[in-house]
Amino acid sequence: MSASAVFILDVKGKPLISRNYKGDVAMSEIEHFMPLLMQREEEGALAPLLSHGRVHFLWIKHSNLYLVATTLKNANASLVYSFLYKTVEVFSEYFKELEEESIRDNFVIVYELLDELMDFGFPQTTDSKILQEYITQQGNKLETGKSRVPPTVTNAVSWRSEGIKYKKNEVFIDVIESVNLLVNANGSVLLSEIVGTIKLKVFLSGMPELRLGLNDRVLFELTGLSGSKNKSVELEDVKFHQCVRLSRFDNDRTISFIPPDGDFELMSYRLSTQVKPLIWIESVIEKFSHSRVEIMVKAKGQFKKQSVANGVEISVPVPSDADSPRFKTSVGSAKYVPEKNVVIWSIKSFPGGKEYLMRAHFGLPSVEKEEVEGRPPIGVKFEIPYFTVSGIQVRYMKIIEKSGYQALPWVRYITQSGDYQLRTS
Amino acid sequence: IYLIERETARERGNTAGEVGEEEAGSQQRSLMWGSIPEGKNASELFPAVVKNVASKNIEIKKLVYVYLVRYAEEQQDLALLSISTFQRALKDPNQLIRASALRVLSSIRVPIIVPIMMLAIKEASADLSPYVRKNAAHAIQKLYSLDPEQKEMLIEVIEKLLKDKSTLVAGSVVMAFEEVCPDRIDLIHKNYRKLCNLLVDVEEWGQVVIIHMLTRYARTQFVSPWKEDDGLEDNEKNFYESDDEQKEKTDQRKKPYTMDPDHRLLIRNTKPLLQSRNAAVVMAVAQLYWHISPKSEVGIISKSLVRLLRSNREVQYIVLQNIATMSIQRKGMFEPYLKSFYVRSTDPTMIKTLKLEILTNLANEANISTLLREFQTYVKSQDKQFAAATIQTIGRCATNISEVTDTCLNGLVCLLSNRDEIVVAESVVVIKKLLQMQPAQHGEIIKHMAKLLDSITVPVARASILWLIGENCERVPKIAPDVLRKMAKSFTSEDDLVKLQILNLGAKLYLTNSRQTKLLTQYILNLGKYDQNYDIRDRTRFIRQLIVPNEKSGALSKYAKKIFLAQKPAPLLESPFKDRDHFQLGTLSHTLNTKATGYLELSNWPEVAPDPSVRNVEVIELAKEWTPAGKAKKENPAKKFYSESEEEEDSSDSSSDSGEVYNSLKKLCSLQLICYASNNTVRPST
Repeated sequence: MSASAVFILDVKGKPLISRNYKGDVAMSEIEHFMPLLMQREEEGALAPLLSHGRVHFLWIKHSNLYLVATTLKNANASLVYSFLYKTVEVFSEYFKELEEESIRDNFVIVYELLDELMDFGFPQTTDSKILQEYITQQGNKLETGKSRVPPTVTNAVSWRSEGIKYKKNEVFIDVIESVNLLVNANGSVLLSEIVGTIKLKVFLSGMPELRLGLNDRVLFELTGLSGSKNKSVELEDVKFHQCVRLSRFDNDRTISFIPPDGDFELMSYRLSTQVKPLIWIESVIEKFSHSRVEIMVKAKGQFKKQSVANGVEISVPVPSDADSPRFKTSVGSAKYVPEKNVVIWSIKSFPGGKEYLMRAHFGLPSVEKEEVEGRPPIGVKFEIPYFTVSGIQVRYMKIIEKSGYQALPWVRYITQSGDYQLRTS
Repeated sequence: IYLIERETARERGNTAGEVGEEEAGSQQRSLMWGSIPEGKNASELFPAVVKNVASKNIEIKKLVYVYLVRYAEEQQDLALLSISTFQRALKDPNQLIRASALRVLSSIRVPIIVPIMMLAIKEASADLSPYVRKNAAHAIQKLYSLDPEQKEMLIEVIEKLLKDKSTLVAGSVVMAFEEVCPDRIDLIHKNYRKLCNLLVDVEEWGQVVIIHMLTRYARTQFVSPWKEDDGLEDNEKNFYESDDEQKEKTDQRKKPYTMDPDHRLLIRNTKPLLQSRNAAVVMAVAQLYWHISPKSEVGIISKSLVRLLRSNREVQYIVLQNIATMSIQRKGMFEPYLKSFYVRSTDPTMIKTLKLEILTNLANEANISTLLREFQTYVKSQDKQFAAATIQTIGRCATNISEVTDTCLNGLVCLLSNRDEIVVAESVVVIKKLLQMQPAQHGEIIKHMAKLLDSITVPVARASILWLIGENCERVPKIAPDVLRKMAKSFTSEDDLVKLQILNLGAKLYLTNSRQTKLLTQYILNLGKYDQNYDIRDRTRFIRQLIVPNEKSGALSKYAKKIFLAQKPAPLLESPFKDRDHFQLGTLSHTLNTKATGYLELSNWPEVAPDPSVRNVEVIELAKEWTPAGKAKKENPAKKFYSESEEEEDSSDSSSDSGEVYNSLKKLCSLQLICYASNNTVRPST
């Protein structure tokens, strides 16, 4: 059903560490992986699934490592990839960054983790919080002799251990929405969607039972709250952390859960309702062959006047053979980044309703290079605090624990750019 | 592997050992820390390490376990020394130690201990701790792979564990079932409803396995729900069948169909899982819906699948492949999400081509103009491979949707003047295919292409142009001989592919216009005769015999014209995903488009449903199942939820949505149950 063995290889394809789970694939098979990968790359037919004879390699790349699962059988492909990414996630939590060096420094832990993550090709405990309870860092001095056994693995609530205590009981709720936008060259919006996540940071004692109330339209309609003064939001395909009771949500749209301790992502949702693009870009890129390129970019903040977008970065593509840049900006500063062939115009704070202008001038060599360049899109990065595009709001957060303590929820809203692209003509 | 590992470790070599020593302090641990990464202690340290297996320190114990699993195969005799310790550990009061002892014991691939393992598994499967039972389920697969002869005994254990009501065990035991005896579907009957009900609370990896198994199960046990709305499907075939015929067909089929309540139960209970954060679970539910739910309900999965497109690229790759397969059969499902499949410049090539594939599948009269505009942007892409794929796509759209064929053709002709050679070459190839499908007059295009022959260098494109001219040589009587003349000049320096087409062109012209081209063709045939490539020499010989009449040539040369200038059937531009749907979606076999080892066929729906009563469980047990003993009494809201929510859900849910029908059916079913129990026909539980 799943992987026979998992390998971690360095950039050159040399195995750093491996774990053979089933023993039905010879461990030497991995030697075929790298040549195969190179060959496919040359042919331009790179795929995340490579086959050598009867052996199939399912691989992902993470920083300077390849994580490869081998299998002989009819594995469930999506399960294997999900597992590999989960492995990366767990390792990253342990070593901060997962790369060759961190693997070399932590052989023992990696072995232990690989041992815990999967048994005979079937994924086991993959929650890093739980794993951290009983696979402690090498750096941590292990208390000798004290054979503490974590009860969590065997619990029904596998993501939270009992007996957690805090002096101050608090919950921090971050509502983060990122906007994906694709606009074509003549200014019509091809795709506009909002991907939101609600992240929680939980400092609560005991086994609290939490209920989160949102201004969800379906819920409002269910409870008859859909009056004119309540603004509601229609959430589309919501996805939850495993702690949320899905059956309950399915019935009456209540989001109730026992949270894990610390940071976690409670839910994510998507809205494909059309919104006005938050930052609108108009650009004129004039190219005079053999002499110069002139770029004029106009950026307009199309959000509420009270809000301010921070750290706005607009990257405008320029031809790769451009030289001698000159800029004029009405606000912020522009910088030429030759290795990416873009001009980055950064504006520290950009209030809503404002309109700014940037002009850039580049020289072009008189000898033109042969291949034609495509026109990469203009990309925009920004962050708007205290604001959500969708208008989603946390109405309440109920925290019930049997000891009956008072706990404080804190809420914060941020809107940021996701994949925000405007094609140029 | 050991060797390589040793090498890498030696680079850091001694330092690792030293650091480990300092940090660890105790003698045993320094042994462990230093040795495992270096991989060199496979032989010499084994006995010393094995001794530590009896250590009281749980950390050391665990490390020894890791070590043992890795090296036991090489040191079988010595590994046996540790067995007695494991046997003791199996009776440890701590459940975690029992579990890991079993796990390691079963991971040691030494055939001599098979009986010991068997015994251990049997004992563990009756353990009080669900965690230990879960490990027992894993051990089953391991033992099976070590010694398949134990199958019968293992099936007994599986049967026992399948009855387990713990969510921890469910996933693992189903996994074992799939590995050991996937054909023993009869073991599932009694546990079917329980599995459906537990599903939401099983850990995510287990969910995937269970859902896949239940999909197969459903396909064998329930009648097809697709009959009722076959009309829907037939609508798509409307083009080929006359309406009357179709009506007749549907009339015949319109038997009253009611879905088995158990079938409904499965579909209903998996629905919330579409909201899982784990891509594999969502994918599993999607394939379940695709394979077993009524056609009218499949629609709900598309949204979740589209969502998965925002995850990692490998997951995207798998999901897109599955969507491609689905979108061929049912366009409507993904049409509202058309824009989600627009290509972004940051996508890797493999994703881009898959997205194109889906866009092609979704194209219809209504959206084709938007799509073509989108394709225009793609053609300008820097990624040449992708641009070429786009041109292919345009060709396919043109053939599928007859309204736009001319527009597409014009667009492609415009591309012929593109500066990029690859784009031009690809356009030529596609135009060739399009023209072949429409034998109408396209003299202008052919003339234009003949001009291109001077500039273009890509062999496939040259060959395509030559073929096209040869095929239409009677329509362009002035140009064709001239092209042949030019080609005769450059024959020796052409690619093999082009040479073959030159020969063909020569032969065709010889037959239609021998006055002008007789000498030219003979010259080319002479060149071909001494070519280095034997394919070309072969072809030359064949053509010469056929077209140049001499005393030896047989009856065939009379028909030479018919042979060369026959009406060729147009190529079909088809999706590579056309026939993939016979593989269960989401599996490796589907991705590879070949049967991988161990692929379990999805059977066709049975004509008549097998007896549904086999799934009935004795009433008493049924009641127990919903309020697991021991948990219900506790006041802890955390634990309470899981046991009782099932009940709540069952009662409240049925009143809300479409459950009314279901509710009455369920009542009926439980009535039947009671009758059954009183009739004493129930099989005694083992």
